Amino acid sequence: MRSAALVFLLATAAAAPLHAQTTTVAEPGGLSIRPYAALSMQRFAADATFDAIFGSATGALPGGGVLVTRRRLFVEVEASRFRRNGERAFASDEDGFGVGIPLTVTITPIEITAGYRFRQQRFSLTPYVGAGLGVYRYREESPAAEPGEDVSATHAGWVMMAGAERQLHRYLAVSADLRYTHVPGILGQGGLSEAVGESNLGGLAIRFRFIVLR
Amino acid sequence: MLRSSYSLGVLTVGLALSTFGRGTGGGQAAGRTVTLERTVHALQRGIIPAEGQSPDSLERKRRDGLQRIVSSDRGAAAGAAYVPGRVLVKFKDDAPSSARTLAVSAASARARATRATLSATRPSHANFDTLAIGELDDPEAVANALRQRTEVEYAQAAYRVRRRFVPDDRYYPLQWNLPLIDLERAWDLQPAAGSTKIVAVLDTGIAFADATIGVHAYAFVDGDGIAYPALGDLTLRFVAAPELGSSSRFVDPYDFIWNDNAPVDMDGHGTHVAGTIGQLTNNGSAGGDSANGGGTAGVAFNVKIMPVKVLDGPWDIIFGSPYEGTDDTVARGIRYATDRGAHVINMSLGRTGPPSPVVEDAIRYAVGRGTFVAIAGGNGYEDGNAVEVLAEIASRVPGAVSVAAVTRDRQRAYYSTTGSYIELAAPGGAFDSQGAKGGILQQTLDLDLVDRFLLPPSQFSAPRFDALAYYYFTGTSQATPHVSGLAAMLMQQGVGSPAAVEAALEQVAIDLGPPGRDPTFGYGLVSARAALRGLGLAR
Repeated sequence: MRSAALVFLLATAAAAPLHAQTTTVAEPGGLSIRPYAALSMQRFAADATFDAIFGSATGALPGGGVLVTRRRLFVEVEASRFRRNGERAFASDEDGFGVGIPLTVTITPIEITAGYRFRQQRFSLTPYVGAGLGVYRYREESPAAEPGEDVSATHAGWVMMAGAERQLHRYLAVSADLRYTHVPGILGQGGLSEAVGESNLGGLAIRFRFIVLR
Repeated sequence: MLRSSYSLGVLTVGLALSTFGRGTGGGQAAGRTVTLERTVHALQRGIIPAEGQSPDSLERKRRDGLQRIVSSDRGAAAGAAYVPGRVLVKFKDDAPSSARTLAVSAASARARATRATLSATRPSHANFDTLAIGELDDPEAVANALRQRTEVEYAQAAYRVRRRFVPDDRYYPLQWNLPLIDLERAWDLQPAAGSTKIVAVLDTGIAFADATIGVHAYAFVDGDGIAYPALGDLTLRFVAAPELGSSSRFVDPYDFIWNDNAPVDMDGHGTHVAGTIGQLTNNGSAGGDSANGGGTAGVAFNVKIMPVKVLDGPWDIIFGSPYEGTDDTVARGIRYATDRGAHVINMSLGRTGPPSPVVEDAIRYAVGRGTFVAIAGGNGYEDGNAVEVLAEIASRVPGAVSVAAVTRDRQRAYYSTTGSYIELAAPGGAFDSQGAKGGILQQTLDLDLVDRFLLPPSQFSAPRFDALAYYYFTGTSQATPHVSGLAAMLMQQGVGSPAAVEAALEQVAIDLGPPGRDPTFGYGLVSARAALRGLGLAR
């Protein structure tokens, strides 16, 4: 929750109007639909679990979506994917150690987020904040698995974010934001996550987007 | 030495021998001449287990029910599993290609297959063809439809064939203790079974080499005050237990009771314990112990074994061994094994009474240098349930564990000591309700020919150490080597630190008794496959 609060504060700070300025990109008055490609670098909240199995608690989630804006409001729908190979492991005190049995984890989030776009700020930045819900599909596979030992589960979670967008070109904008996701119900009920007491499949991510303007 | 009893109605007798001419640690040492050789052969005598295992036993059903199915497989109606997306079909030789194509079309339509394409080329070494169907199609339905066609000789789904490692050792069906800790599926994960690891067996010695040893048997008085005559100078033949493997399997043997490098077993306990750790396995049809078809199986059947004799048996006493099984001997044995590179130390031994800082220091030395230590939890439940001093040390040292014993139905063995220091449980067996077969079966010395001191003085004679037999033993001594073998397999898998090995064993132990750790079973019954497989993120 501390991370979530941090995200909110950042969003609030970024949104504060510093001074009057010249608007270079007109805020669209009508409906605008913008496809985008995204790449998130996420620090998973279950860091001890991820670190033991993958050697790192950070992972990339490439994805894409559609951003729909109307005046200052926006809604975006995004799908992304995390897939990584690691090895099954145990935890001893603070340390994790693998046992050499391969493991592949795939996380597929589908998120819908709504938010507010502030007036354009200095450097042509348009800050925004948003929050939403997601459906997170989780698969855990191991070649040594017997029936019922692999995991395939789907659970809902929530996301909140804050960031800024900048138009680079008539047809292209970029954005960067901080996102915090909370996904309960998948981790913490078995496996290493239960052993180390971690239950959130989400985490804190920085996301970069290339947005096509039309 | 924590063997509680053995079969043939022979109970272990606490032989309180007062000896004549026995040296006392560092004093006047009685001598013996040792000639290690590889020219004599073990006399295979006495196969104790003669009956087959009941076909309706839980162990048998578990073996028969083993399934090794990879995740992409699908379950078939008959309980088998098939690989989706293809059907194997053999057409009759006289069926023209047009008829084959027609048969495929008709059958796939009838089975509602989304697609059905015969492979253009036949697989090598095959007299059948492969029909590719949709991933979601039902290959059994397609095969059924194909079999209705006159052009088809047979058709079937591509059922998954899996490795099922069930050792072919003749007496393996009597070893309920190994399936009880899910060892068969663990062997599937690690066929090497600890091949690069060394397990030191601190015990009464091991029948590890053929040897001729000259000794002097002194007169003695047993615990009942009965005097036994001196047998004088004896030349005794020792043989290696063939089911423990060739001499190359044993590394750095040492005898702290006789202070030489011939830790031969004059009791039978150490050989039995070593067998549970690493008896040659799956050699029933490959020679092995030919008289017994491979005999029995062991947990980590490829480990190297370091025989370290730190316990004296009755014959060591009668022969006047210079040292005894005391705290200092055990501590020296632990340090020796550690310095010689043992990865695991098995201590099927213990005592009650005052603390033992010398052994604790040695255990901490071993663990600090990367050696895992497993210690028997004790057999004294019915004798006051006193704290086992060495096992209690293990509970305070991450990387050393104390082991309780369970029966084949996962109950506490009646003798197994309880206490807050118990950390894990393993099969130790019991004879009480299940007869001899409730014990742990392994090859060891033929005790009829060894325990001659149990006979009246008129029948007392020199022992023989050149005959072997299969015995059911029970005790936490028998439980401990299960943990040691499994620890070696975990280390083989890359788990390097003793504390990590302990954590792994405890995290996946099958919780018995009250939820959580308890004084009877500790964290629970060790689970071999779960330990070797480790944990995923969510399961």
